Amino acid sequence: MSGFRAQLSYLSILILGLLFLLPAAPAAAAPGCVGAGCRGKMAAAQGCRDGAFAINGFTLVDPDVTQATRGDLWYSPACKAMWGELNAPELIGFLYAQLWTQSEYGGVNDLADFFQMGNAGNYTTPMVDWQQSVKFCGSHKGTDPDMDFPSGGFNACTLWR
Amino acid sequence: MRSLKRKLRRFIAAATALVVIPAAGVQVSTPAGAAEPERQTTPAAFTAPDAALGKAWRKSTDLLVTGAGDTDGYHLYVARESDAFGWSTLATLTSSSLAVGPWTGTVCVTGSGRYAVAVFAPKKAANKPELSRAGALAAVVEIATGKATHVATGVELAYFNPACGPGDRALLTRSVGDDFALTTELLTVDAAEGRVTKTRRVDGQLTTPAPAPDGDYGILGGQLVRVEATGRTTRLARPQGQPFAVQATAGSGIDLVSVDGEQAVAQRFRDGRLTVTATGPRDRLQLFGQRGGRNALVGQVSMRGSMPELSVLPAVSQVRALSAEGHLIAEEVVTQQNMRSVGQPLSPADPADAGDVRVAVRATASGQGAVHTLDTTLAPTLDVELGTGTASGRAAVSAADIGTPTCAIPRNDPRVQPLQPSPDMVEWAVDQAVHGRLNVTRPANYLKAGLSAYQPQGLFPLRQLVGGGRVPAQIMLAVLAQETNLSQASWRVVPGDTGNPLIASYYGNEDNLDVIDYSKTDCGYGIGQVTDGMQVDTNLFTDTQRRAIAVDYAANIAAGLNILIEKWNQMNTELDEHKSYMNNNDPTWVENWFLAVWAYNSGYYPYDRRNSALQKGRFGIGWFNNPANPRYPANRAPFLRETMADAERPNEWAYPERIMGWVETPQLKGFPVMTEAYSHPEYSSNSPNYPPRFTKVLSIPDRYAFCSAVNSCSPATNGCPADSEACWWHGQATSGNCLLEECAREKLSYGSGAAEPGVKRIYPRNCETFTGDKNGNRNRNKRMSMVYSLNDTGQYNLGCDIGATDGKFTIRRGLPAGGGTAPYAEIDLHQIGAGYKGHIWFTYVNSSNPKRRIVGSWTPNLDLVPGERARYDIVAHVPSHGADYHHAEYLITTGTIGEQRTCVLDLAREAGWALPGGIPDPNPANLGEDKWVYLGSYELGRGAQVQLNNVGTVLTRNFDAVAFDTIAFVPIGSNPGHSCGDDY
Repeated sequence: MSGFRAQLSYLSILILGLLFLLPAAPAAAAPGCVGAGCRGKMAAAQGCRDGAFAINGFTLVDPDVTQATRGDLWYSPACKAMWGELNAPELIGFLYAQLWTQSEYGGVNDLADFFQMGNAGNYTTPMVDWQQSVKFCGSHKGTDPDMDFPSGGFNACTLWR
Repeated sequence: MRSLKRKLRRFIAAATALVVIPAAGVQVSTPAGAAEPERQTTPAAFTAPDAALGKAWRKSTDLLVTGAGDTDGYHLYVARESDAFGWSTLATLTSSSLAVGPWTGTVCVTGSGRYAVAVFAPKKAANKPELSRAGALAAVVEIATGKATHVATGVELAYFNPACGPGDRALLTRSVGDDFALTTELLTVDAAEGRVTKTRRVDGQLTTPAPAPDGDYGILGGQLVRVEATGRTTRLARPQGQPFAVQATAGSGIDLVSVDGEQAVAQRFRDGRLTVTATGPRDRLQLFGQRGGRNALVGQVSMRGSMPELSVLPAVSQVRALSAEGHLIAEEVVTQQNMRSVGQPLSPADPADAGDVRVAVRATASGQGAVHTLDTTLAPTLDVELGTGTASGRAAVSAADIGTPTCAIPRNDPRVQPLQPSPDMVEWAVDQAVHGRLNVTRPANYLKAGLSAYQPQGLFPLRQLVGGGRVPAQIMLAVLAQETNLSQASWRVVPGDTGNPLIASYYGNEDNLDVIDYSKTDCGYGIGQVTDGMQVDTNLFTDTQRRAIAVDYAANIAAGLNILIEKWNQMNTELDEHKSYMNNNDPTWVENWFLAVWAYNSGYYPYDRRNSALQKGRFGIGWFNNPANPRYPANRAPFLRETMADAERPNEWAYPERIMGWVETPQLKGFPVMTEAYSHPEYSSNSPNYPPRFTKVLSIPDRYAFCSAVNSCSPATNGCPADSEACWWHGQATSGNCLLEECAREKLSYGSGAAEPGVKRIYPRNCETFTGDKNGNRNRNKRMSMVYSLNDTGQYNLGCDIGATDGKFTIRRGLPAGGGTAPYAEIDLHQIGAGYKGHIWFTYVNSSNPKRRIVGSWTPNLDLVPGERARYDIVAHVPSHGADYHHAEYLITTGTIGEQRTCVLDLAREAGWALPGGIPDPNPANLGEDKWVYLGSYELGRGAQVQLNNVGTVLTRNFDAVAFDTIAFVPIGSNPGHSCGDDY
């Protein structure tokens, strides 16, 4: 037994030694932008997806499709930035994605990004500064700053975050 | 937060927010009716009523209605003889559509005794000629029930408006025009129906209207006229002197009283001619209408025989009101705090006095006097909703159509938070500025405004007076007292706090919270209401100068002083034959500034522009502020000389008269001890004595001092007959011989080299840092997140140490947020230097108006990894002042997934302003205290946030402010948490 223990000890030392010789695991890369500096930039390109999470979302009602369209508002703590993603597995007609902002202590809606989807798939908006109020919307009828009004779910938004 | 206003009323004896109410020619918005009140049981005014009133008092129907204004509104009070003239509050008239300070008003009772008709307006309307002419609201109140009905908007704020007569028909006036031409709209009110039934336009300035059984009468061009159905007037007779009271009887003619020299003359018009009925001292003979169309002369009356429907009641001084049957005289009506300020200037101001009014009465049967203090807190309220279209008939416009602000320095900008100075600081700055030595160095980034270092009079070098000399300090101080109550910051900001600057009509909305019209902004900033150069499209000042004017009271005084000097210079650069001046025109003497301050308020028309189409060959100074103008009662005493209660009716004096009054009687400020805010002037050996106050006074110009051939104005014509540019005056006027020591000069409290006094705070600065571990349950293995009300904590400017915010705080305005209503919701959003480390946002509760909706969100950067959830105590800071709503409902969202919870706090109770049940804390020493309160413990994940909005219903009047202060998220691991409402 003692020999076996000795072999284990040598093995352990060898493994530990090898571990020390291996290059360290790469740390999370510094993001390419922060806050207002991220405005208009894409999250993936700036490394903002690491640690990011969908902070709020919605599902669009559409009786013509079997897989509903899903919208999410994403937040990156590292970049202090937000963006929207619209995932439409099926699409008949057009969908519109809108990313709205309001200045931090209130103001009139600013349309930071608008996109018309003609085909099924994913759409990701550019980023905006997290320090303001941000809302992401999906719509069947184009741009509508009053998306908060009831539409039976055909148009939907995240909460303001 | 009307209770914050209420508690701090002593600091805002005169409103500081400039006020505009809908202009002339506007139709009434939907009448609002006040709920019918329960008849209150009131203590008798007389403890032995049989002796005071006579044994028949129990069956008497006599009653007296009077009014007084404060920051809550204009209050009407009623005393019924059957209650031994015990007082009760009849109604409170106000408009929460207007963001204003104290209110003022006038009231009359119709001949039936069933209705009171009131005209009411924010007191500051008296500072603006256009608002005095057509900036007040009118209501009819049913005396039996207190039911109040809004009947008119945009009527005249004048001592003779409204006018009641023998029946239930009343008249209102609306003065249309300006210094160039003036007409009067005469509105007929059917008090029983509670509506305006007719509007007539009368050419010229019609004053002291009087409804009579056979038509309507009034004074026009110094003559008694009858106003026909078309508005055309028929001249009837010329009274002996300048009339200040006209009152019809039921069937015996029209009574009027005029001032003729030092005498008051009562006359009756009947059968086409005037007959003298009585005489008396100029300021001791008054006329009042009574029930059934009888009139009464009150004062020191020498009758010329008896007259039908005219009785006489003796009084030793001017009185405020007379009961319907003449059994009770109200000698004085003054708010309690105002009264204490006069009688006990060194006693503490009592917060319990807020809303109370002192009424001194005398029973005419016995001559017995009594004093009663009224509490207005139980009054039913008529809240006139002005809506969006009342100001000029405009419809609501979209956010895009509103445009952008035209005032150069924004509101609600964390970089623009001036310090509210204490009065001694203001006097110091004025004393230094008038001598050109206001050169204190403001360090770079003073008050976090982002400016480089500067000196106030380095930015605004003192202009020289034409002819030399300097502005007496007391003149500048009196102007600041009248204009802004010595306030650089919003009237919501108490000395020692910072907050939004005081800006006149930033939204051009006539202070209607639901209107924005950037084409009509005023942009008067700060303590001196500096206006010129403060619009975005002007280049009079650099951006640095503008910001200094908005942020620094000393810089503002330096700039404002130059404006006053400019008015002096404007008149003194005229050729001698066209020059207008007082006495010997030496600026050393206070009295010689009467004309300059007149021009400061209502302008000067130069000689070299006389041939313009506007001036039509005329030049000089306008008619509005001429003391001979019949819009001011001819029997008035100098402003504030007899009683501080004059400050409650500023519209009864011309602007320069008010300035001289504030020189003679300095404003009272301070807490807890109120003292005179600045020094009296240095009177000369021959300045007039005023024995009742054991002091000398100023040599005030005579009422006709600015009447001459140039404006066809004289005692013989009872003023100026033309009511147009023909009434402008120029020339030399005399009020005293300054070379013979009859004038006063400045007196400095702070000489050369005096250091700027430290601010005397109302609330001590509280820089205590929240650690989160007071109760020992904080988990120190995780980071605590503090989310402040400003995301850039470098903008906190009270000087407390503060770290970075760990999250974000956002505000969304309007409903839907960010939509067309968003710009409006900013109007009633405010920032002040209260709360944790000295900053909060606050607004007022509203149940449904989308233009008032405010939502605040605190989103922490919690120390959590993806998918992790952990327990936190959420702790909210409740500020000592600025928040008092009883049902502030915090919404806690526990993460991107998970439940939402609520926690309701009674903000007033937490801060110590109210007792359980929402009863205001009666402790006079209580100013509230900063406090941390738990919102509860929750398992939170990433994406958690707390929200608070201003949606709700007010249960206790004036307790309606919701504040957005700092919130802490304290990780507690498995330690016990706290419940909603627990004290930290």
